Amino acid sequence: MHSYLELIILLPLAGALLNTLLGGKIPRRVAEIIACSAVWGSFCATIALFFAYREPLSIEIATWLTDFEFKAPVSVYLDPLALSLCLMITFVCGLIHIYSVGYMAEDPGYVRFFALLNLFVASMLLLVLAGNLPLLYLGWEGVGLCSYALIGFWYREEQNATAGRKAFIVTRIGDTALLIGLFWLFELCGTESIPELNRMGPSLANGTVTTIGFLMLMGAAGKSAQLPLSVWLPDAMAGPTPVSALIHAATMVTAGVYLLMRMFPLLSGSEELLAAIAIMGGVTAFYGATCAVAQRDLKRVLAYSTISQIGYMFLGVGSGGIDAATFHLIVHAFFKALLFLGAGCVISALHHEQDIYRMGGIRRSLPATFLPFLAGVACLAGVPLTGGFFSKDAILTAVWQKRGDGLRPAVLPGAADGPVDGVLQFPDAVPGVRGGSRGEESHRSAGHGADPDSAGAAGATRRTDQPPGLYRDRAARRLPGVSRRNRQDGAVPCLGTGAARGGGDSLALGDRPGPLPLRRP
Amino acid sequence: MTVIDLWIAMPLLILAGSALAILLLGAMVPGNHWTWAGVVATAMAAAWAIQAPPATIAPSLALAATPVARLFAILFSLTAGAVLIISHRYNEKRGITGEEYQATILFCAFGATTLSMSTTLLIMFLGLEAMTFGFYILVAMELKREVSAEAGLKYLLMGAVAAAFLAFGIGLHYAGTGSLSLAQALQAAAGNRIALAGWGFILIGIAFKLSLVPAHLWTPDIYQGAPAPVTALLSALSKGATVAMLLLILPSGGSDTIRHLLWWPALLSMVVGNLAALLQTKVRRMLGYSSIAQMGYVALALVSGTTGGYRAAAYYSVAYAIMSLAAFGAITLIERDGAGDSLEEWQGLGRRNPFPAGILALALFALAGIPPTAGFTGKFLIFTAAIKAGEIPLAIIGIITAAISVYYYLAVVVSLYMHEPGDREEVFPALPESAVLIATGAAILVIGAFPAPLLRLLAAALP
Amino acid sequence: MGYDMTGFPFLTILIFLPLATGLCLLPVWNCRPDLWRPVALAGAIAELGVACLCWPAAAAPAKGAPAGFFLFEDYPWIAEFGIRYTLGMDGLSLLLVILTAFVTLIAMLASWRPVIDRVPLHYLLILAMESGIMGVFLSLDLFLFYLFWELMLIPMFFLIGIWGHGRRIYSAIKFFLFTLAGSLLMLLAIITLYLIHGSQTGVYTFSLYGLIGTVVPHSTALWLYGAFLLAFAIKFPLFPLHTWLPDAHTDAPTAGSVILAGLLLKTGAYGLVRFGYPLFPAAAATLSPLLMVMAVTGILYASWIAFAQSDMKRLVAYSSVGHMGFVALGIAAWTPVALSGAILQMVNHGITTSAMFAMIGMLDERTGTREIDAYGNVWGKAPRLSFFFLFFAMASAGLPGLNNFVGEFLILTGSFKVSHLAVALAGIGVILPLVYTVRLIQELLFQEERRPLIIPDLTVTECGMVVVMACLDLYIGLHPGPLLDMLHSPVAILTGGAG
Repeated sequence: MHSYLELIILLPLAGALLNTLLGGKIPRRVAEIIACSAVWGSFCATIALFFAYREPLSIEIATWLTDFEFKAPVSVYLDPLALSLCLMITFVCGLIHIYSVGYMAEDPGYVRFFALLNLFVASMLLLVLAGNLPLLYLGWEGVGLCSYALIGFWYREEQNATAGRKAFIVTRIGDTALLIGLFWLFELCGTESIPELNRMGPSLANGTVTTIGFLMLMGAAGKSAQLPLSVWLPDAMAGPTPVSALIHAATMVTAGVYLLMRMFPLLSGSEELLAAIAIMGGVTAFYGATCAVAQRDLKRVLAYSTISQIGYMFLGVGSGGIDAATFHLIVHAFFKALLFLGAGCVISALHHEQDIYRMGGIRRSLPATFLPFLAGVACLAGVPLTGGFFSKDAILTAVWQKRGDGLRPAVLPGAADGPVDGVLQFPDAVPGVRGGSRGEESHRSAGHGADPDSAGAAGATRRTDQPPGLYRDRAARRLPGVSRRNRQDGAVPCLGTGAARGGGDSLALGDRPGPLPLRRP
Repeated sequence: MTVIDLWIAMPLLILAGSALAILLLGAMVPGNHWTWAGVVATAMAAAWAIQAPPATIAPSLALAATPVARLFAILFSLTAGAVLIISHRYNEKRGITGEEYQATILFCAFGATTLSMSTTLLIMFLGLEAMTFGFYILVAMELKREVSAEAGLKYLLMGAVAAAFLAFGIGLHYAGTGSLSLAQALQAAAGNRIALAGWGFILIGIAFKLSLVPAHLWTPDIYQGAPAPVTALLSALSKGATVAMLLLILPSGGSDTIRHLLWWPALLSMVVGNLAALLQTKVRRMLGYSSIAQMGYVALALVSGTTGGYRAAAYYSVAYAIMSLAAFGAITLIERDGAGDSLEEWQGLGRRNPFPAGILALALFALAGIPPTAGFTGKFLIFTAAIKAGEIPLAIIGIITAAISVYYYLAVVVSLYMHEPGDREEVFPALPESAVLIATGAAILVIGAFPAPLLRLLAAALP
Repeated sequence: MGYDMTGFPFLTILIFLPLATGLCLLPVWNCRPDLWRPVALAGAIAELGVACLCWPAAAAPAKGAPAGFFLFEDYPWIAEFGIRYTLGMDGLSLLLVILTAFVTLIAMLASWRPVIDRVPLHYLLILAMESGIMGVFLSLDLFLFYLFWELMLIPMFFLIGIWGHGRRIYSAIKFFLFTLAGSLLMLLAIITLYLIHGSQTGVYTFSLYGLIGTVVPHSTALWLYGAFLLAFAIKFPLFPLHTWLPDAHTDAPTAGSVILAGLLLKTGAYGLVRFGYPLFPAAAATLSPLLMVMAVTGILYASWIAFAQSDMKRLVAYSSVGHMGFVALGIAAWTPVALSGAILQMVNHGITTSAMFAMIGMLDERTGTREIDAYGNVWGKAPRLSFFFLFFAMASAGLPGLNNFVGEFLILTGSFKVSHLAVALAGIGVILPLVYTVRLIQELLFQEERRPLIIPDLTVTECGMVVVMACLDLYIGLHPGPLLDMLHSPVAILTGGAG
């Protein structure tokens, strides 16, 4: 177990180091292999860990900050939530690495690119696995740095560098609030360990939890581009497309949601806070979806849709639907990565044309791109039997069940989001179906680009159908108490949601020793 | 007159005798080599003063070889010797010829030493005037420079007035108490109006000599006008002798009134001296004002009226003598090849003339009170004494003015080191000059960093 | 540990080895120009070696020393005044001593190529300054401390004045006068404390551990502590006493900036920790809100002003004021975590900011300008240089995983229970540095060049130098344990003593 855990984080880190140190002295192919094998190695370790997993683990790997009563070791806290996110991250990242090999084939800065990608993966995994908040913050800032450097990857254009700068600074504003939250928690609880904090949650005063929670929420909002700190994400599309897919769709931007889910037992002590999370999520979901409709730039459309989808996750968390939010997070990672990668293929095929109203005929010229893309769009729009349908449904159910008076207004925009999202994807799909005005200009995307694209598409569908059941079985076997509670919870209005919910629930909450500290009104 | 009297008076005899001998023989064998005879004489006088006499007092001569007196005798003799050495080439260059120069310097040393050994007011006055008389001549020695003559005249007039005050004050004291004895002089004067009035006059005279504000106006002119080695001597000897005189008078106890009369001069000297020095553009003039301020610190130590204060004053006058010797010794070397005394002409000397410039910089840092120099340790002793005696306002003002003073000392250092040099050639100091400068520089550092022996000496001398 | 260190005068050697090396340059002043740099460098390396040798000594306390000190030397010096030559090293001193030796070495390397004028004097001054700073960090006698405190001003004055740029003379004098004015009042306070203690106990001593515990009336203690605080706050420099620093930095040569930022600023913080608080615990507690206000104002103000700078050095100088504000905040809080964070931050800032100044020095040397506006696309021309520049800039902006973060984090964690508001405001001070840093990074490294400057990449020596510093940054950022352990006992003693 230990060695797997260490490998998961260390492999990408080693890849980053190796590529940095060897620099341009090794052939391009070797650098690419180092980068990809590091991430896939990490994925394999995660798979191994998945099968070896028995119960939530708290492991101290090394010391980091130890000073008098303050302790923040390099410790890992592994529970189903972390494990499933690790699986998702390593898998999606692995695919995107392979995609990048093709995408960056012409770029001279490939060493920097792959080193940063690997470093990003390591930071993201650290964030997810961190057993205490300072360590989580280390990963949190690490992904921020990589995001900054990768958005501004083509730094010669001032606009790109400025976009990176903006992302870094805006998220830093939220981060600082989070940081103050950490100090406060330490003052109150005398510990920074996540499980211990969650355990102490109920003993804290309601008002304090609300204040600390708001600080954390600000941090989460900054990272996850929620209102009012959402301004940076559309600009962040200036980065290379794999970066947009990886960081600004699949992984980093969901870190805020992850933080809230991670600290949920603590934060759920405050009803006001949950309402605030839900409202923030609902409003952002509506705002993002609406903005997306008005965009012409393909990547910006996707960016706003990401904002909106993450708002959805916030809504789920705020309604206490951790399971649903997790489920949506994972599903979203797959279909959004798929959409971005597809968009990347289209854009490079069209010689860096990003205006959707100047596209068309993709269906015929790039069928291998078109079909997976269509699958992603369907999933995003929540077409029944896709992952998006089940996950969004689960969130809406959670909201409905919540029945808090304060939440009613949030339900509306949230609910409205689904159709709007569907509508907005329409022009997106249009380049595929519209007649081939520019068709002859487009050429087939590079082989490298197409493969992971399809794989992503497969992932998006497979995930929606199989994993919930898989997880449910495993989790139910090990955590009977939780499953029982789930069964009691019973009345779930939608069958599909039920399937998803069961899986997600046990995923997110499986480690909890007792019943949920959720206050049901 | 007994053998013991002779023993005690021997340093004086050596100095005075050699001065006369040089005058007489110099008429027959003129030349600059009399410098070395003078140096030998001062060395002999100093060596004699080092050994403890069989008895302290020679009543028939009204002289006493107390430890303080001997300390100052050594200091004055060595200073005179050092000044003789650094004058040697300067005089050649500036056309100051004739054996009267060396003889007068020895005579000055004789006067200062007499003063420090005196036991009556009369002998004290004689010693002081003998020294001052020598300075009247020395200041105006450089006949070719008009400034020098003007300075000489000014010094003569001011000195005469000061002497008149002193003489009149001593007269009043004698009229009031019927005694000229220095020991118990203040006790005798206590409650005696005539005698106290006399002490008022005496203090005015002393203020002239120490160039305390408001009797300070002559100082900058003299410092600027006199030949550089003479300024060194004036600075070290005249100030040192006056402090020695105060140390003979004040610790004997008696009324505090007299001591407290020094309060305002101490304050004003520190403030006016330092502020006025800020405005100067000529190095020597600046050092003149600086000496006013430095004497303000000594006065501060004396005002505190404790043994610690007297020891601090004695220490500081020794330190000041060495620092001035170093500073003006270096200036002598620098000016020898015709550099004027305005700061602009000194730019880049640190590069062109590293040795004297280095010593000058060291001396300036010492005057500014930067550790580990004698100037710092001296100021430390003074402020410790002042605070211990409760003179906290004076101490704070002293510290603030000391901080201000750093600016003008630094201004010189800046000129020396931080500007490009002009096209004048490097001047190589002769070996004896170098030896003197190195010795003074080392003394500044050694006395500053290891003041314990000197302090022990002073503790024994001023119990 | 493995060898017996009692009796061997490590501390005296630490103080006087650099000075002796510097004086060794004098005989070869004119005749062997080829020996200047190697001799000086050898001295600095030897000094670093000696400093590192002291590390194992921490295992066993020294005999007869105050609690926490593991190397101790004590000889009478000026017995008449109770002044002793007392040196002591505890964990706090040890870290700063090693930092001093290290930063001096960096300063020397940084001036390896740019300084061609009056080389021996340059190295003599650097070494003399190292001696002075070592003395400050090791003295346990107030008189001795004051002596070294003043002594280190002089070499810096000359370094700025002779080898500086721009208004070097103005800056040199301003630097000297500012710091001297503060310290002279401290001298008065030292003397007063000495006399109070003497009149109470009959024992006249300047020994720090003799004077600790002196009963001083609170109002008097406030004045005395105020004088100490003034002297240290100027050195720190705390707002609004910081105005000398940007000038001094801007006009100083690279070596001067490196030492100024890396070491001289630390002496103020060190003085406050070693002398200010232990001597006047009650007064320090009374005035700690003032210190906190100065710290937070400084953090915000300096970061704000840093935005407006067009000169890189000036920008980093202002960022120094901000970082030192964090140190002041940690000291003002005076909790174990905050204090150890503050001390660690001193070390961190010493390394990172020295590195920044060294890198700016390299750019300046290559192009002759420090105007940010003149640069652009340095990454394209000198990728290695740019990488390290980015690295140190990020460390300076407090990126987790690098050293500054650890210090700031501990400071803020420890200070939080003392003042929520101060930490919240200082939190803004965590954002602002990032903003001006990434602006600097972008204009310098990334965007299109504005003047055709030729910027060769790092040489091997330079590369070695920055790699070592970067490794230190990383090491402290990821594994600060040994340093924090070293600080544990002194900080526990200090904060325990202060109640």
